[in-house]
Amino acid sequence: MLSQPFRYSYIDAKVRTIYAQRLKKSDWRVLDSCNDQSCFMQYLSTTYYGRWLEIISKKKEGTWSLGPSLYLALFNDYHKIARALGKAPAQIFQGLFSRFEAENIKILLRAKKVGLSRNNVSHLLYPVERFSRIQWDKLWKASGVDGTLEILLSTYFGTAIGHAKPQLEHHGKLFPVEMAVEIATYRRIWLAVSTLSSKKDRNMARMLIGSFIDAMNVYHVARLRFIYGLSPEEALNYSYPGGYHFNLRSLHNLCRAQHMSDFIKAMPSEMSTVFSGNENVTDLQPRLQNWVLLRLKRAFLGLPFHLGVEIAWVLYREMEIDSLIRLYESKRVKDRNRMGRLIPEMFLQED
Amino acid sequence: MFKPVRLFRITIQVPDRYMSDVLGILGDFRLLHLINISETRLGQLGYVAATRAELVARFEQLLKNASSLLKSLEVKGEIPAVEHAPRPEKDIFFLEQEINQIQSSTLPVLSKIEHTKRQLSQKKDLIKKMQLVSPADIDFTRLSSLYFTVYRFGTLPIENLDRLEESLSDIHHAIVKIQESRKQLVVAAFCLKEDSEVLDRALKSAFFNGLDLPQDLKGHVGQIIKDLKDELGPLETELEQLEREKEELAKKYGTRLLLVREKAYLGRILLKASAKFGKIDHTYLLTGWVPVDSYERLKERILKATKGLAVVDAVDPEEVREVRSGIIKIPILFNNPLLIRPFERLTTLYGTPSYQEIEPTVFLAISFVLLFGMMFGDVGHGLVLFLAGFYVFRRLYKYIDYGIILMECGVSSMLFGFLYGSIFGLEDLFPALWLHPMKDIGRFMFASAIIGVGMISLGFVLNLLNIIKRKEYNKILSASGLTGALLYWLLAGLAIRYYTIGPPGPLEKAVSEGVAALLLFIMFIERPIRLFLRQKRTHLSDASSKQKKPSLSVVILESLIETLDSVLRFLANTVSFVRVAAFALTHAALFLGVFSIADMVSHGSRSGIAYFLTLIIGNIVIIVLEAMVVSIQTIRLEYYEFFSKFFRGGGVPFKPIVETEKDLVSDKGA
Repeated sequence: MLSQPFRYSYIDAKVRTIYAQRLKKSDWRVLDSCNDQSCFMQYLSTTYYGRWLEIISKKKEGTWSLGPSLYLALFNDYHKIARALGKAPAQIFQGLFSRFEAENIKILLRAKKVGLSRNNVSHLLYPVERFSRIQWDKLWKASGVDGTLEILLSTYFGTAIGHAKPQLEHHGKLFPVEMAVEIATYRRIWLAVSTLSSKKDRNMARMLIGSFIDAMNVYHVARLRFIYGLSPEEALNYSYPGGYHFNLRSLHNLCRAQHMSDFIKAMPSEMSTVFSGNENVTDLQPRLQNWVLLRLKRAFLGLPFHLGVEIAWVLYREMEIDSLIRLYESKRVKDRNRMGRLIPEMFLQED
Repeated sequence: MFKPVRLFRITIQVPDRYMSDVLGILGDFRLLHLINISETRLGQLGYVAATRAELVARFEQLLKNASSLLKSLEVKGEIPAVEHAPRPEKDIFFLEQEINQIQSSTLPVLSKIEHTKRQLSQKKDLIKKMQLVSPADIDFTRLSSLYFTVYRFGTLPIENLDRLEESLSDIHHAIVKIQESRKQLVVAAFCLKEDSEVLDRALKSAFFNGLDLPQDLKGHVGQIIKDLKDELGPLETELEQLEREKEELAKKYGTRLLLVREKAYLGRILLKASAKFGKIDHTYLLTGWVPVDSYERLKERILKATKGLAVVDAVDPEEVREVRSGIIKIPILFNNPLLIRPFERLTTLYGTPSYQEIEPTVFLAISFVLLFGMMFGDVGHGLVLFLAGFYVFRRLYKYIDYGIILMECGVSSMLFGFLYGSIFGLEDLFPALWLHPMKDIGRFMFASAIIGVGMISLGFVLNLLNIIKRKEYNKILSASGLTGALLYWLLAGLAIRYYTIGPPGPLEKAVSEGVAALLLFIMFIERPIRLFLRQKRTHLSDASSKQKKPSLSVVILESLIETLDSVLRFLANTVSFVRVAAFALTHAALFLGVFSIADMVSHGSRSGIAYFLTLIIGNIVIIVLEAMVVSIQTIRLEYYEFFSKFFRGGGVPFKPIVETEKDLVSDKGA
């Protein structure tokens, strides 16, 4: 207990300083009132993200040209925090970061499958290279999906890919490999949480990351069931390991739902506020993020000096960036009816 | 040796019916550097490139078939020399016939081998699968009689088992764990036939990998494994017999196949080279460079093959208009003896010599070996380098040049090792024939500087010869020409006199000062005068020239800076050679370090495994590290202090129509 202040005073102070620079209610309102992407970018460049936006200032604008700069800010935070922490806590951040590596791997594999080059899909890729231990250049140079998987087998995604590879070879579809990579990433995060030595850190990490995984699972299962039409047993097996409010049984109940109304009924009581009359799956993400944000906020209250502060911050920033990108995209398609649907309510409610 | 081989520019006109024969002759002859006809004036006279894609494709197919057969038969052995290059249009038929005949004799055996290997692999694979389920000792006869129940055998990631169980909780099922193997569970999954779709979906999403056991399995697992193992024996015997037959076939057809592949390869090269030929109506035209000595022989063979209908012309390079106007450069064909030839690689790394300058490889080779030996002088280390070079020379044909260089450097190191009295760092086994570098540092540094003076002087002489060869007489009084050389020799002579005899007398001093001042003055005014004369000439020839002329003050300032820079460079270049002594001392100092460490690990006893192991490892480290460092330093001295004095480069290498045997091998290997 006494060691906690020694361990976290420096990084807590640093994170709380960055947290103070987050976008405020007033920022969100101005950004929302912008009529076009140019106005949006001009205002955004006056915020904390300004220096990161300089990187793309000379590039062509578009939804995903904004993304790399903003995510670079997030990955920089990941890097700094992981460096300042011990081995076990750092593994949580490495695990959280590897979700973005997993996304890039999915894009890479799809590109290889249809014969697209790195340049063709560069706008879809997260800027992970600077911080990643994976040799991306080598992966892009590999010949075809098989050559790429051969290299990936030697990375920390190797075991998961090894499990899914026979299905790829048998059916020729990338979906099992993609799911295996995603599931392996969440398993890695959850395993890192359970190896934390401090009870306080472990509980906070379980609560924060568990809630985050719960939200991810709700969104993931809803998409698998109602958009992709997968069966309950497949949805359950493809759900992410870990969680705070869900156990296997309650998650199975969610997967069994035939309609959205059953789905809402199967939600745990803690998450009942998420839907509040809106049953549209496509609008689910900001509302789930809002629910997670309310939990993340708790980490900044009460006694300081615990890992929860750092975890809450990176997840908070990730959702802030997600919301910014959604809002920016809405400027391109001139979606007037956006506020409240695209960004979590919490961003608009407090300063 | 000091200049490239003299070449003629030849032009050959051949009636199309004789083209195949001429191609064969060119393939045999090899020493022809072809020029693409479209790059010459002849290309503008209506000659168009002649390509025969269909024939090239046939040769490529032939090459593919021959290579595939050689690989299948595992043919090893020397690549036979092709005495006569193929006449592509004619020989393709014979070569195809040959390969078809060999294929018909060998393919039945090869396919039998493949079939047997496949059978063996399938059975071994099934044994492995059955071993996975063997702990359950399942009776497959009983399993196959199940009517209302379906079953699946396979492996599953351990961590997915709970989810799988939960996902199947809505149906009647059983997951039986058989064993754990490499973080995977071997399981048997059962459910009712009506729920088989649910089971399959759940298994698939839990990354279950089915074992795909054959449907017709009967009996207990143990019995099945035993039966399969019994079946392996006869198959292995059959395979051995077939392999012996394959060896016989390889012996019988190996040389023929290698020859076919070689001819196919040559044929393809010749046909591809023909894209540089031109064709108009029924006449082919080709042009290129051949050594003067070989011209008559080539002409005679072509005329004989074409019954005198071909026209073969040769002209001296200087009479070729494109050469005079600089559109085409005369290629450089090196002409060095065997021991010097490997250093051509180092020369071309700096630049290909032009036809109008001295070919510097021989100077590079001698000075390289000398400098390397001086810096790496040790009998033992030299011997190791020599043996390493010999190994490369004998075994790694592709790197034979490096093998020769290593051997030469090794011999030089050994000679200097005797001069320094050093063998594996031990300096008391035999007396030094010259000096111990660590004990006579001053004399050693002086010797290095003398070598530097020698090499820089040689550079000046070679540059003067190049100036004369290129007829650039206006540069003879420049800092890099005669004036610079005389000044350098004067300063060097004074320095040597000072070191060996003592300070010069008043008269010597006065004469030296006067001569040096005169030379410096010439170097200083040479450029402004040259520029002035050129401007005057230009003014006379083209009064309307709008080119901006530099002012007199700028020219004088530039000339002054260049003169000072030249004098400083003389000094810097010479001092740079002191590194030869410095690295020789480093070599000796590293030995001291190794011996000190060895003493420490043996606690001063100078015996025991640790002592000798340290010495061995230390010597290996010194050899690898120093050989690399010394090579780099030697190349640096050659390029920056020596070549920069006279070597301009910018030439074009001679590329024969068919590369050497060595290149053929490397190309096929690649």
